[in-house]
Amino acid sequence: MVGASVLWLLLGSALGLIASVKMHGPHFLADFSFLTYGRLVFAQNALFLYGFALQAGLAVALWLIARLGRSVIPNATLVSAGAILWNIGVLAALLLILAGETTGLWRLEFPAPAAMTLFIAFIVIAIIALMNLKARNVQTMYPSLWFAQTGLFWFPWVFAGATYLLLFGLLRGSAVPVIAGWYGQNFVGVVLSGFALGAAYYFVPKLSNQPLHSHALAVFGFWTVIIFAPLGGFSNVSAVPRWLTGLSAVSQWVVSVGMLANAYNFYCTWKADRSASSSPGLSYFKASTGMLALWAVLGAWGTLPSNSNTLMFTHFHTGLSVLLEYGFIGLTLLGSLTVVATTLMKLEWPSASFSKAHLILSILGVAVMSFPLCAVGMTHGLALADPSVPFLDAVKRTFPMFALTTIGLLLFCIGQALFLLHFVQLAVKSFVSCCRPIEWITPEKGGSK
Amino acid sequence: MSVSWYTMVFKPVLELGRQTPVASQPSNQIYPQPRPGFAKQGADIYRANGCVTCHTQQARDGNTSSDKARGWGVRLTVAQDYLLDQPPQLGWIRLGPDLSNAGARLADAKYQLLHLYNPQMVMKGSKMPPYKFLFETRKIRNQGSSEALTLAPEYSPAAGYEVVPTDNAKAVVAYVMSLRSDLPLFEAPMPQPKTNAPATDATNNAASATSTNSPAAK
Repeated sequence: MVGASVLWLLLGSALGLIASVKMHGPHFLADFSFLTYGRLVFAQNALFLYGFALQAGLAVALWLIARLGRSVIPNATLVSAGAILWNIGVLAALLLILAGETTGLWRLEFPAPAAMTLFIAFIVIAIIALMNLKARNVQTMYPSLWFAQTGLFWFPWVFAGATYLLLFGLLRGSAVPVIAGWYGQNFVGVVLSGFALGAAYYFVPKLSNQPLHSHALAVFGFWTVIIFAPLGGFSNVSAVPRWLTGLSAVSQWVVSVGMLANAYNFYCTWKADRSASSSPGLSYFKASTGMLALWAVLGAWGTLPSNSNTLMFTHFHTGLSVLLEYGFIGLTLLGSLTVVATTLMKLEWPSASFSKAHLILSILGVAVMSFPLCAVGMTHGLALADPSVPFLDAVKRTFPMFALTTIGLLLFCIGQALFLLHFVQLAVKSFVSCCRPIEWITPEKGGSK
Repeated sequence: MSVSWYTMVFKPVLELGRQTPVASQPSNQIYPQPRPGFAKQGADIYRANGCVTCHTQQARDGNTSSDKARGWGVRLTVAQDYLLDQPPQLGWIRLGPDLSNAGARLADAKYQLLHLYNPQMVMKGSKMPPYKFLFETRKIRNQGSSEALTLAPEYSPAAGYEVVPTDNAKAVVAYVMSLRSDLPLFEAPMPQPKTNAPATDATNNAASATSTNSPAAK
């Protein structure tokens, strides 16, 4: 699951890079129907969310449950089968989107066959994870387990509901974007953010060798996210009932407060570590916490009545999504995977410089991708709001900053390619060290068994 | 979980799911009308190619945005406008212009086909990619096709060849031309010019207190 998730992340980012290049040169690969800008953007989004984020989130949740509960996963073979099925579902989703079978719904881009495959795979893995949670040997529920457990229950509920209502044609008209928005918000705001928060609540204290700063803040952060995040996500839509956009703006503020509480909790935890012995992996979590705090502040600022109209339909919201998805969720899960992979294989990463390069390129890539998008959102919005500025000029004004986003995506891609290469090296090293021929023929003390 | 389900799923579906086509006043025209078959096929191609990732179909109020001044919409678009679309392609970013009322302002099919074939031909500096795969470049037979695009020399194919739109290209254009939101609705009346003169019956009808949300009288 670790290797596959990074592979999908790399592939998705590469498709996103092609789409980004097409923005600068519209004729680039224009003769291939399966590589239109729209299909590439949908494919990138699906691969990031389902190929990487949810798969890595599940892997980390399985790890956390076993680690914190001091228990062994009851049926690892079934988990592997579920993971294989999950990746078949992601592949099907990718091929269907590129073949033009997209639903046109953001965050639920693929048609029913891929959705059903993903659903079955998730259920298989989630059941094993929940069985393990029930059989844990440590009864105390650490905050990480709250988030992990919530994600395991929440995703099947919202995914099944949205798939049933949207992909089987039960709804039409404006009800469709409302339900799609509800699903997307629950999926990213609760499930993926929950898995990432759960991971951060485990790894930040662990890597900084400190106890969690505040249990009460964790409780507050958990409930605000769980209750209010599902009510948001409509700040960038105009043609839905007004009470939905109003409720969405208010809930964004509460969620921002909750996320800031979580970020502050992480900050105080690592700040308490005065030694210089904290793990380099902690840098992922420091960066992701910064991105989360920035997302919370900008997200709340963007819903202010004076700003929301100007920022509507601009790059600002794309920048916010990148901050939350790639910045917080992505970096947190990548940081978690770097620790999980080495612990599982009982080895150190083969190259410290590769690890450092991945860290720097990932953080720099996300920053260069997201900050200009948020900044250019204002330029885009102000130019669109002024009817004396021709539309083409309004769009062109965003391109210098948009070029930075392309560079950021390129850096991010190189970082993930390095990580994948490094992971393969680690896996080979692990295989070699456990299967040395010398060990096959050297009898153990007392004779070979 | 249940709060979110009730608020964001159950209630909106109850609210929006009961909508039916209504009679727009004063014309008494039933709105919205189902799209013609060819335009419906075009909607599928629009969706398949992800056109929604660049174009919105949501015009905002003229008082709070420049949408009306830019000619994108004559009134605010509301849920009623998307009633028969499955799924509606609302969009979320404007890298291309809003298309909610494209049928009214871009009624020239030949222009639309040229724009689809190569946007640079009709709008220099456009960032829209060309959709040449929706067209066929073929040898001219007999007198040539009446549907062949009239291209400037720098964009023309080799001598003896012509560029003809496929059914998919014609369907996309039919879809874009079917996008209209220019009938007044009770919840989205036509904005009235600011004047001191008393309102006429015709201008008042759209914003009258009589709800047109009820099923249309036959």
